Amino acid sequence: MKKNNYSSLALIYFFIRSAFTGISFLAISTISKQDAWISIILSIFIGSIIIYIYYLVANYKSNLSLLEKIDYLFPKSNIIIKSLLCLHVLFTIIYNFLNLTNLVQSQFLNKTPMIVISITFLVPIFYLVCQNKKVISRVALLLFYVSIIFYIINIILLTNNINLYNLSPIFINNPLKGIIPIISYNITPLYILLIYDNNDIKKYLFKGYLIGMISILIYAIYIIGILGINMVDILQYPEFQVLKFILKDNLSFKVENIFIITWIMDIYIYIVVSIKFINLSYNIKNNLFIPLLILCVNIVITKNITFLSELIAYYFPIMLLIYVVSLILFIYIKSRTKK
Amino acid sequence: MKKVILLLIILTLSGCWNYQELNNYAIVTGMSIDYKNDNFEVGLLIANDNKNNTNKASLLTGSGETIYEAIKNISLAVPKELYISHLSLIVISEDLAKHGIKSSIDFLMRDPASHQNFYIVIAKDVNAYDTLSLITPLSDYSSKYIESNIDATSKLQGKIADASFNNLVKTIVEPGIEPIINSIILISNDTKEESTKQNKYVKLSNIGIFKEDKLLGWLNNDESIGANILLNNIEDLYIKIKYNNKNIILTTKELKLNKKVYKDKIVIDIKVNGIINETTSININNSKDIDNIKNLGSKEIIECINKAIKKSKYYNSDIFGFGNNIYHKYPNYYKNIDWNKKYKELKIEVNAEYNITNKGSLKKTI
Repeated sequence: MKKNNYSSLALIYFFIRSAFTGISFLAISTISKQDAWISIILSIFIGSIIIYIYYLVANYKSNLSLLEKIDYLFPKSNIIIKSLLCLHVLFTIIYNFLNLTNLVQSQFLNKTPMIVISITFLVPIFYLVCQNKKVISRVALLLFYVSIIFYIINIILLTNNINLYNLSPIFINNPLKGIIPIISYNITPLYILLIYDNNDIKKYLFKGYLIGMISILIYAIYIIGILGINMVDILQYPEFQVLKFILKDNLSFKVENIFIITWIMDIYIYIVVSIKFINLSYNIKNNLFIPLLILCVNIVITKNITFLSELIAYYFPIMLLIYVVSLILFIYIKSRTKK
Repeated sequence: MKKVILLLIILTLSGCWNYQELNNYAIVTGMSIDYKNDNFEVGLLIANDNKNNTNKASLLTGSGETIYEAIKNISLAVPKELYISHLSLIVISEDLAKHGIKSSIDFLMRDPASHQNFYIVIAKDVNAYDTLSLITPLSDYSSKYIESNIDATSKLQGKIADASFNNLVKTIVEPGIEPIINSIILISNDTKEESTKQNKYVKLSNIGIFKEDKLLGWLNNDESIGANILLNNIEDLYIKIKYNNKNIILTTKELKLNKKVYKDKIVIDIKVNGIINETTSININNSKDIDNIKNLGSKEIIECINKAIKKSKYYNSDIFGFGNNIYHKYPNYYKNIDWNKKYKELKIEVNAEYNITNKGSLKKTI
């Protein structure tokens, strides 16, 4: 067995979790309220259909990456297909990065200009984008171990505060509606990982998917179980606020600031791999181009961020879901016809 | 390119942006909020970092139409940046509590520097400012003194509510439950000589009963015990009973509460394990005596609870969260009723079983 095989598992884990805090949890807690955790359980089952489609795409000429498959399947219109995918990838990068910088500014650095916060996070992103895919995988694997350890510590320390009573009453807010944001934000972007060795990805696709989904399920149960849905409703980042409850056990002061780093890792890896996807799609040699683009868009959008929460909860998920799934299905159907 | 990256990393990841020395912060340990003439009068108890100064803390005040405005007015008199992460206590005046506390807690929830890990108490019959201005005997800061007092007694006597800030906000936003907050009173020791005794000190007092965010009234000692039993907020409770005209103190060691929730009725079964802690010259030799004492213990607990329920119904404030219990069990039913009207008609049945596990170290009374 290869030494760094688990890096694919790590990448899948980070991709599943990246948009949970601040985006998909915001959406499902707005739509499904205390049934949010049921939405996640249901989305594990329904999302596996999409995972199976990705598996089939990965399985088709598995020695080729997704971009090479597109070149092979669509020799004339390959650039259009890639552009359509890149449009989605760029969009996800922007909302993930915006979410990250907004958390940092609202909770930690409220006096620091957004441009400085953005540059602070973009520098390590840019540095890793300059490296090859193998180095990115190794970094992901290393961060995966750190993330898992922190996650387990979080869960153990918070268990004392959970009140399962807060999870009831169930099935009063239609948990089915909450499935769409989870699938749209957490599951569909997994196709980006098909730029890596498809054999490795398909080997760990279901395992990574389950680990990632179970980790966000447990986290959702803890957030609602500790804070209660009415508190979740009024807080901007309940995922962060819930970590403050660790303090109650007098373990340490402001320990939440350390534990929130797991989420920063998720987004970091997600953005790096996604930028790599765009660079490889267009064969962009200048690694600074996309980070600079993100920086500019981020600064423009953050001037009016308040309108975004409704879009994130209700409109984006369904649009993104239809857009991505139809594109991947199109690629899959084409692969069935062209052997 | 590598040099550029290195330079950027040095500039941005060194952690020097907005760097602040501890000396530049004025650490706020307590806050008082009074409400006068539609204005908030805020007092901030700031820890003194000057070792040569005998005063461990300074209390500064400012006023404004909002809490933030009042704090900003205080900052005009402070040569440092106000830092509220170490806030351990907020004292609000009775007037503010009656006016409504939502506007006061909004700032404390919204401000990222607020760690939300503090207590909130009402200054009863006194300005909130006055309670923080006291020199306290057992602690450097009056805020720390009151906070420690709540910590030490909250689960011990059943007379103090669990009124942490998070718990308070939760009871305000949750359906079918109303908040309760502890109060403090100022005690004067005017008869004692000034040179040897502390003139004034603060003491935890009755629990305030709220409707939404407005103070309606107070629970007395028995009602507070009853309320805390129903809220399962008791670890160590003592009750005094009269047996053959003599006093017996029973201490509760274990209290189990079981609620059966129906649409129009709540049945509460309480099982208590306790011990005899003190008697006043009364012999307890046979099992009949023990049975009688058990019955009196059960009766006392039921009485405290019924008194608390009666008071909460009088104010029509469901501080026990019965409505919340019904909401969790019958959500559709709860949505279709007006709980404010329904609560007064709610039937509540209380059963208690007091079990005496031992009589302490004595076999016979001295």
